[in-house]
Amino acid sequence: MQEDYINITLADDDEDDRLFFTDAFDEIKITTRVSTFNDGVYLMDYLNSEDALLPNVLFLDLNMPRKSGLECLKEIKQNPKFKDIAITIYSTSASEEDIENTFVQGANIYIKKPSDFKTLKKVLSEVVTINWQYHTNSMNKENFLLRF
Amino acid sequence: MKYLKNRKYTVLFFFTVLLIGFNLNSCDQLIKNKNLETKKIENQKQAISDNKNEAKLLLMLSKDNQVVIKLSKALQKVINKDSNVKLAKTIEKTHLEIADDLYDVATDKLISIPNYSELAFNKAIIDINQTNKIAALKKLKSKIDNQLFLLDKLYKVTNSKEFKTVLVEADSKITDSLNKTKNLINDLKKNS
Amino acid sequence: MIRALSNNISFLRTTLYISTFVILVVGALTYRSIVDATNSSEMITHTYKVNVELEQLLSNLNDAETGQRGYIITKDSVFIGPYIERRSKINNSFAELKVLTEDNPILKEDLIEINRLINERLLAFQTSYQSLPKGDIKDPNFISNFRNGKVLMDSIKHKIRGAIQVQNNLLEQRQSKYKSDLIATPLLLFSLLLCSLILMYVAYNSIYDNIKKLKSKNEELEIFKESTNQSEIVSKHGTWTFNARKNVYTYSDNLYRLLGEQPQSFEPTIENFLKYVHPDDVEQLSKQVDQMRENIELPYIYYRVIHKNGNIKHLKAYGRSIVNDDDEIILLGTTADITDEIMSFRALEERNMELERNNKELSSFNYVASHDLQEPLRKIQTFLSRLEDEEAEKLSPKGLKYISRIQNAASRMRLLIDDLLQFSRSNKADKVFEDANINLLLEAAKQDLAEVISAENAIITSDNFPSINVIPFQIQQLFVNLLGNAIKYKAEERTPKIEITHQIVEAEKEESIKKPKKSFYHKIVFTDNGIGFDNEYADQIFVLFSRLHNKDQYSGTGIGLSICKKIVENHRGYITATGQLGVGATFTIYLPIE
Repeated sequence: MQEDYINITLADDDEDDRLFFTDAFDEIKITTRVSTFNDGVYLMDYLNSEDALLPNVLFLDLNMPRKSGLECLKEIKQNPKFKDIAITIYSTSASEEDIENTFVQGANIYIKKPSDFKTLKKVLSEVVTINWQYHTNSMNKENFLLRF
Repeated sequence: MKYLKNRKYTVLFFFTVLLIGFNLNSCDQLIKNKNLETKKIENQKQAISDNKNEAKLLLMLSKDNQVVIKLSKALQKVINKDSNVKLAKTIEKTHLEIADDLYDVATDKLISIPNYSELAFNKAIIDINQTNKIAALKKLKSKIDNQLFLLDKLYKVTNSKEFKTVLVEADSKITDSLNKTKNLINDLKKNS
Repeated sequence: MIRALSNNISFLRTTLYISTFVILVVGALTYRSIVDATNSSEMITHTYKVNVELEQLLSNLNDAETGQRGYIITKDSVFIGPYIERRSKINNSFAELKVLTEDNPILKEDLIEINRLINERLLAFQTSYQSLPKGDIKDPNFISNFRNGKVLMDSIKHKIRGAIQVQNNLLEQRQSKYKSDLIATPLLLFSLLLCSLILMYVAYNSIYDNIKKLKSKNEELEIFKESTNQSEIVSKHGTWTFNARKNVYTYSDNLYRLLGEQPQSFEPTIENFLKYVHPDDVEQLSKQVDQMRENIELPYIYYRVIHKNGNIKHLKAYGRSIVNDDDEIILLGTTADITDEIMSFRALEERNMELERNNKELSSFNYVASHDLQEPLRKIQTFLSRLEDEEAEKLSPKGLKYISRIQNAASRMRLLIDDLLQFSRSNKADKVFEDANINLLLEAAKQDLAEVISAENAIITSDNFPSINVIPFQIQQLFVNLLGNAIKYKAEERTPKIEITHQIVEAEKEESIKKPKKSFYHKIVFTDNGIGFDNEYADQIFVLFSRLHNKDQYSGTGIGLSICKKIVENHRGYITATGQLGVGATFTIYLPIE
């Protein structure tokens, strides 16, 4: 059911980050449809609903109230319905622990939130254009953390 | 430790008991011995004095016997009647028997008595004639009496059974002759 | 020593018995010889009595003969008197002899014979008396009688003398026997007594020696006991004994002091002791005591006691059994006051926990602060960049300059926060060591700095590293910092060249290692050709927040090398630096080999 736009979803509790995200995608010359959720609960509620439009790429913030990104990741990975979603961890922290945990839980890629808008656009466009088939099949820790 | 203690005390106890017993026993023995000794000595002394008395009495008895024999012999010569003479003879014979018996006994007893009369004779005895024959008979009687008296004493003093038997025999003999003497005296008194 | 003593005791006992026995024997023998002596003297008396009587007989006969002679000569009847008297005297003698010779049959027979002869002689006397008044001395009958008399007399004398001799012989025999006994016995007795005395003297000597030895041993024991008491007081422990059979305890003086009481102030029973034990420990202690009674041993036990003044003390007790002379099992026990140790241990634990808590707090504070500070900072930077992009045309040059300055300040803050974060991460308590491929870590570090390396065309050469037991991410960080520094402080005129070498060295031979904890170390040396530094500051550069240049010359937070030092210290290693201004710097890392 692939249309010619890429379905992107972000779960992040920070308003500013959501703003940056959507602004960035607005400026990227890729056809995307972006949806955002304020926390893990909203996200999972939506994903689990009957007529959910599943995203191609899901961007997960880690530090969210109610349900953290790691928990959402676990839930998503457990549900075969969501196996086609490419999951990107999108977080402020780049601690070994977080990287390790998300990698083990099956996230596809890890992005540390850049502090520069231009870098942000570059990173986001890189992520959405990755050929996810190749990427998911080779779970490789070296490539897990996106370097920019 | 307990056993050893017990043993020590037991041994000590027995030892002490033994010692005391031994002491008492030996003391007792010593005292008994002493008593025995004293008794023995006393008995000895008594025996010696008894023997001495016996000998003395026997001697006196035999002496009197000799006198009786002599008198009766002398009286035979001065008595007239045949029956009386016979009596006197019997008396003499009896007393000779007694003399023999006494002599045998004395020999057994290691007592020395003369076999016949002593030498210190009373002339009065030999010189018997018609006038003093009754006096002589009286003397005879008294002598025989004395003999009985001595016999009695001897009987009391002596310890020997055989001697006592002899004495009893002699006593009966002498009593018999005493009677005879008495008869003689009476008879002679009647006649004169 | 005790063996020798008991040997001596049996020796003494033997001596005692022997001496007693000897004395008894001596006593018995003495008694017997006295009895024998008495008997012998009695025997003498007896014999002499008999002999005297026999002689009396003889003398009486002689007197009678003398009387006879007198009469024959004088024909005076006064001489006859003695003859009569003599008969009764003779009878008396015989009376005595009869009794004296009751137990002598031979003598009895002799007496009978003598009596017969005497009677014959007396008869002979009589015959001669009777015949003489009439006849004449010259009468042949008289003469024959007279001669007969003499013969009889002779035979009597002979007989009597013979009897006397026999008695004397017998006496001599018995005397000689007694004499020999009498001589032998005293000598024997005397020698036995002497032996006994010697034995007793020897015994006395041995007793005296033993007493002296015992005394000196006792003195030693007294001294030893005193010193034990002292040592108990100093080391705060007490000793006790438990006699299993008698169920009796003894407590040493210091044991009472451990309970806060005066020595020997109460009877040493277990009930009295339990009164002092902490109520919480009483039950367990009672059980342990019951077990102790059964097994006659006490493994280490711990319990508390409360003194009368309320002080609580911790005690440790232990007991071991021995068997004494009387075959009784005695448990020897020691109880020590370990309150001080426990208190200091507790205090230490508390301090440790406090420190750990503090550490944790600081750590988490550090981390969280750094982490949470990043958020707003990032926002600032991002918005700034947006502003630059979107509104650049609308801003005045001054405005743009201000924005640029804000961005600089923000970047500096970011650096600081990043480094602080790094620093706090290197502090984390849970450090997992693993055998890591150092080469890979180095490669990863190079990757992290890939941009800068390619920008400056830095050349990095390295030896091949063996695998070392490390905390991988920290070592990686270490490499990143050092390489980063080397490139940052490059010399203007030349391309940065960094050389990394590796050796295994002996700790003693390395001057820079002071008080090494291990014998061998990995020596990793980073040498660069940058601007170097004055060696005077070799130690200072590792101090937190300390810099040799200001932020306009070279950016930096002064945390990097502190982090390196921390990481190396985490690995129980050492890091040193040497530099030459204008030539380059050398950083040496020592990592211990376990």
